[in-house]
Amino acid sequence: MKCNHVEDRLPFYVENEIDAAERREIDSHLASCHSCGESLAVYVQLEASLMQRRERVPAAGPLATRVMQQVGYGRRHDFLRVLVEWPAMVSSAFVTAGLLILFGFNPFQGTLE
Amino acid sequence: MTLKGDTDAQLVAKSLDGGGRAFRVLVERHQPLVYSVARGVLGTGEDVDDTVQDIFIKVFQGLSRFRGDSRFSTWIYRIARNEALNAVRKRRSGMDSIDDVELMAPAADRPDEQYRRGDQQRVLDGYMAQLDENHRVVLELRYMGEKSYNEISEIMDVPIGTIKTYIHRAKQELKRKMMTRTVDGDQKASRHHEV
Repeated sequence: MKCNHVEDRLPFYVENEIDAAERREIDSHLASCHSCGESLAVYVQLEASLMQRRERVPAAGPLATRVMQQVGYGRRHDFLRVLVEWPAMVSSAFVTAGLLILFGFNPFQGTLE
Repeated sequence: MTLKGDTDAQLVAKSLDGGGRAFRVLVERHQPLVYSVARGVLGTGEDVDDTVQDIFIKVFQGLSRFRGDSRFSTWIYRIARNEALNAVRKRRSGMDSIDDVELMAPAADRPDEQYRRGDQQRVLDGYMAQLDENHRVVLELRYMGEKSYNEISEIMDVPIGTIKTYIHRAKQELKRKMMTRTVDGDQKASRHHEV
């Protein structure tokens, strides 16, 4: 295997994106080629530096909160909640009161006196 | 009820129904992708975080127009790239001359200065700023966004062979710059010893 071909394949070699046969050929070349060995060392250092870039992505939670505030999701949600939940709550209260009266308990006893 | 197992399409539908939690899950799920694209286009700078926020606001505003004929990640990628390019134009419009561009360049774009401080990531930022934009975006998606080659190919709607070529060329260019820096560093050290 010639140096220019090995040099070209080293990025894939470091990422383990080559098959076993090619890896053996490159290993064999690297065993005796100082220049390609130096190139490999730089690619390994580069790969390690690139892998650290994932740590620079900020946490998603605070961003999501800011976006939700900007698009007014909280405010719209509250409005929808009032529109949907309050009538349901009021209806439930009347149904409950009706059932209680039906079963002989007057929830309004004493309030009219 | 957890939404994290929902597909993007399901989350979009729930978001359009007023489901705030569903949209939050969408934001959190795709934040690495969007951040990678913004960094790939803009490089470093204080406007990156604001641009990421603006991108998601645009996503929210356009949610009803998402037809499902492309992947959601592809759709959000296109919005991210367009908004990041708008941010670049805004940067340039705020500059009066080329000298201003150099003054406003973040310190990360001056690799020698950062090299003296031994800050490897900032040195890498500086070298990456000199790459072709497509190469830089793909590299950031791969490493910052932790996307596979297949995923990047689907997101960008570009053949996987092209993606591999972009990354390959980007790494070769970065390696060349790193080796040049090493040679320059050795030469400076040698001159220092001679003195």
